[in-house]
Amino acid sequence: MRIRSTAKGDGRLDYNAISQLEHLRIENTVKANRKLLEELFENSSDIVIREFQIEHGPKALICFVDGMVTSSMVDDALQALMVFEGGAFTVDAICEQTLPVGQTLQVQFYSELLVNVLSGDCGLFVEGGKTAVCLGLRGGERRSITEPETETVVRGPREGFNERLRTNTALVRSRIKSPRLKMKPFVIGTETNTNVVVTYMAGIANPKLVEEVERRLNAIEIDGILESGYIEELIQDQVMSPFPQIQNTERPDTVAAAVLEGRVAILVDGTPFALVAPFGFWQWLHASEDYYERFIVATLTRMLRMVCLFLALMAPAIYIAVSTYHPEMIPTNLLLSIAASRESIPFPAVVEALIMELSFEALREAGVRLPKTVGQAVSILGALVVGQAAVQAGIVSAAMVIVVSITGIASFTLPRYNAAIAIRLLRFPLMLLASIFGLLGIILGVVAIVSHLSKITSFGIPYVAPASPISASDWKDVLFRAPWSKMKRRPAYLYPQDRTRQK
Amino acid sequence: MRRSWRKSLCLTIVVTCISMLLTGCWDRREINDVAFVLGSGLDITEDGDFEVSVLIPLPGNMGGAVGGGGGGGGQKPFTIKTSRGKTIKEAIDLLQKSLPRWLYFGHRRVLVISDRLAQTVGLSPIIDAITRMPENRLTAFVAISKGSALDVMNADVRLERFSVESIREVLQSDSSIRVSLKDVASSIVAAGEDAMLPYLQKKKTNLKGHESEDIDVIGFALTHNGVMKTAAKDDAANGVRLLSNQFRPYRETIVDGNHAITIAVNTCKLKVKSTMIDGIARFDIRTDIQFSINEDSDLNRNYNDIGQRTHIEKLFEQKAENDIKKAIAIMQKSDTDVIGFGRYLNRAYPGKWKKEWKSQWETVFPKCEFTVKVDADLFRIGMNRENLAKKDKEENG
Repeated sequence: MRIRSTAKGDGRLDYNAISQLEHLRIENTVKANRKLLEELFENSSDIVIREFQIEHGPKALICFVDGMVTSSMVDDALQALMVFEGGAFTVDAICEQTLPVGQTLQVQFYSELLVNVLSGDCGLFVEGGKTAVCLGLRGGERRSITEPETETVVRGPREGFNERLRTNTALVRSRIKSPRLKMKPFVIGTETNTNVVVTYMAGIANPKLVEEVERRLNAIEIDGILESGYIEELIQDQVMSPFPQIQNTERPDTVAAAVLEGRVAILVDGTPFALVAPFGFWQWLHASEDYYERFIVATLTRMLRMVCLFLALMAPAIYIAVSTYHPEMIPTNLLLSIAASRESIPFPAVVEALIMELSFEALREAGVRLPKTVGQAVSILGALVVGQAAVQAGIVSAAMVIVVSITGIASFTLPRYNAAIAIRLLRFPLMLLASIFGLLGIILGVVAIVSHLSKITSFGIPYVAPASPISASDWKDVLFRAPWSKMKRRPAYLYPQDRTRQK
Repeated sequence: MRRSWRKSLCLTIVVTCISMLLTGCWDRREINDVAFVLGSGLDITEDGDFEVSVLIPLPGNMGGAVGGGGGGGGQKPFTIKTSRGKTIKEAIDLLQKSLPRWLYFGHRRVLVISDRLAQTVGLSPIIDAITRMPENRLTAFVAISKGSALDVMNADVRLERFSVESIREVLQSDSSIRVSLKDVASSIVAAGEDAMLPYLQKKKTNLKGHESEDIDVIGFALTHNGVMKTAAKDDAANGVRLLSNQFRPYRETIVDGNHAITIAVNTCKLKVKSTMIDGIARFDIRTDIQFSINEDSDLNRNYNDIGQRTHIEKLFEQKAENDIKKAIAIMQKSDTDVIGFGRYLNRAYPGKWKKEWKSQWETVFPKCEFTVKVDADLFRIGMNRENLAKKDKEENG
């Protein structure tokens, strides 16, 4: 079988034939293999194909992607091959005796070979061999391990994942030195052939959960996976929900902790963000540091985050509702202060709130996108123009600036960025409801949010578990964080195989 | 999945539509369009009409965020509007017609009623006007003013921004008793009890350059069936304080020969035992009072001496007993049972109360007999036992 289509005869590649590489066996002769490779990698300057003569032996051919292998190790391997002396010269013998290479893999089909070569392995063909050998000489330039920027901690490990899957798996493995930690490989994406690893603890994670994760991953048929976000959206339970149903994290210790609880993590090549499932509402409030700090401090911080969650969601809405519908709820002196600050404001409270919230969100977005040096200028502009000048010009009231600032600060306290975005989003409909129906509208909105929350699931686990369905023994690690000596069992709502964490 | 989507969308629309029909949803009012009434005064005119005056803060004059700086020199941060009408509500409606902002009574914390109104029409029509509207606060303090209520409200107070704020603070302090609209309403309704309200008067400071006015609680207005009958002042007011079930500490100066002693009455435990002898209701009133010494003009007094302490205790017991007796005498004379002796009787003899006394408590109360016993305890003498400035005669002489 040839790749070049004879029927057309116009010299173009028939790319449909590439999908049939699964059945394309490695050729016997170096010459034939070389011809096929050169056809496949036509116009690919980064592919190195080199034929050479082994001393006292047959011809051989190596093929690798320039920049993705460690060149010094390729040199060593070639050197070892060329000085080969005596003995039967078979592929097995090369693998077993000759090569100074840690990982070798014999493959029979081109599809397997190409995936490995394109991931950074070095392919070796020997004259007369029915199989090719993939030499694990992956290397190349990659970002080093740095502190994760989205999940910083005061106390805790400073290592974060990077874009290289092997580094990431190693970071997890170095934390859990147990054969029970499994790392199941997957290749997803018909074109990108992205390496994905599902990691879990055998004997702790519920086998059905692992099975379900694998099933959903296998069902993905997409051309490319460039970030774990693709996978997250493709395998989540409900698409039409603002709430994230799969956690993403840059921290290997968070993945290790999740896996030890009986969750399943998905590491994706090319991104520092690993996925953790199942994910629920209460994890919004949990930071990895909660488990490293003393439990009293951690509990208080969680409560603070809970309060901040409500503030971030409802503070502007409550301000609008109370000031326009229910002024009797504000203490008289505070009301007079608000009235004094609102006296010359030309807008109704809801318009004022929308202006401020929108400009705040715009500032935040601008700060994220801009280069760091320019970002500072944006924050100065925001503080001076939106904050001070708008109040002095009498366009927005000082009270509203305070409300918006409190909301902004509160939304930054949530450790899960993807959950905080959902809260940011839901603030606006609540503000509109508050401006139309007052507190009644807020209640209406909150009822809708809560009922939606209690309806959705993450890999079959109810989103608000263990609050509903009630699983009282798990409440030690929900709003409170019990001391480690009291948390003897793993969370029941995850249905782990083995619930005993300590004896 | 698709179907449940459609279903929930329908549900959302239906719920939204239903809530649009709910009453009370469309009273959206920006703070800028509302005039918050902080306090109001009620007077009666010569023709028998009500005169309602409301105190409205002016947020523009309060020194808001605009321009920064204090509350504008000389300009008062509030204004007072008055209006007349056959009913209270009519007066307010007439006033509303001429105002650009909506009068909002949800923040009225003080209601001052002139004594003339309280003596003629009484409190009942006022209670009706207020309780019909949900906007009004039932926790607002009520007080009776000596003379015009408008005059008291217009007091030129200096320590607070608004005169009603000053009135409220005074009514909240120990110099008064806390009486809210709710309390007045419930005492008027209850059988065997009458309402008692603080009695206010404007007090002037005539110091040059510091002319100002303040609000003074001069006693308690005693009502019967919602109509003010008399007022208990001075000694009688103290007696009422001691009898009241919400005792507030007060100061008093008692005279011992040529010397005066100022004492603070700190706690008072009241025990009322009602008995019936020959068909006449009798009340045994026992009070346990704890008091302390704040000042003593007698230089030779030594508080280490138990005899001298007992002497002071006896003096005060006598005084307190007289106060209580005076208060009871005034109450019986004007037939105003503001302490609620009828309730004590109700508790002791529920059957007889229901059958006989309840309906004719007005006639029974003035005939009741009272015995008063005061047990005072001097429990705190301050930081020194003797006057520190006293010459030590033995050493120097």
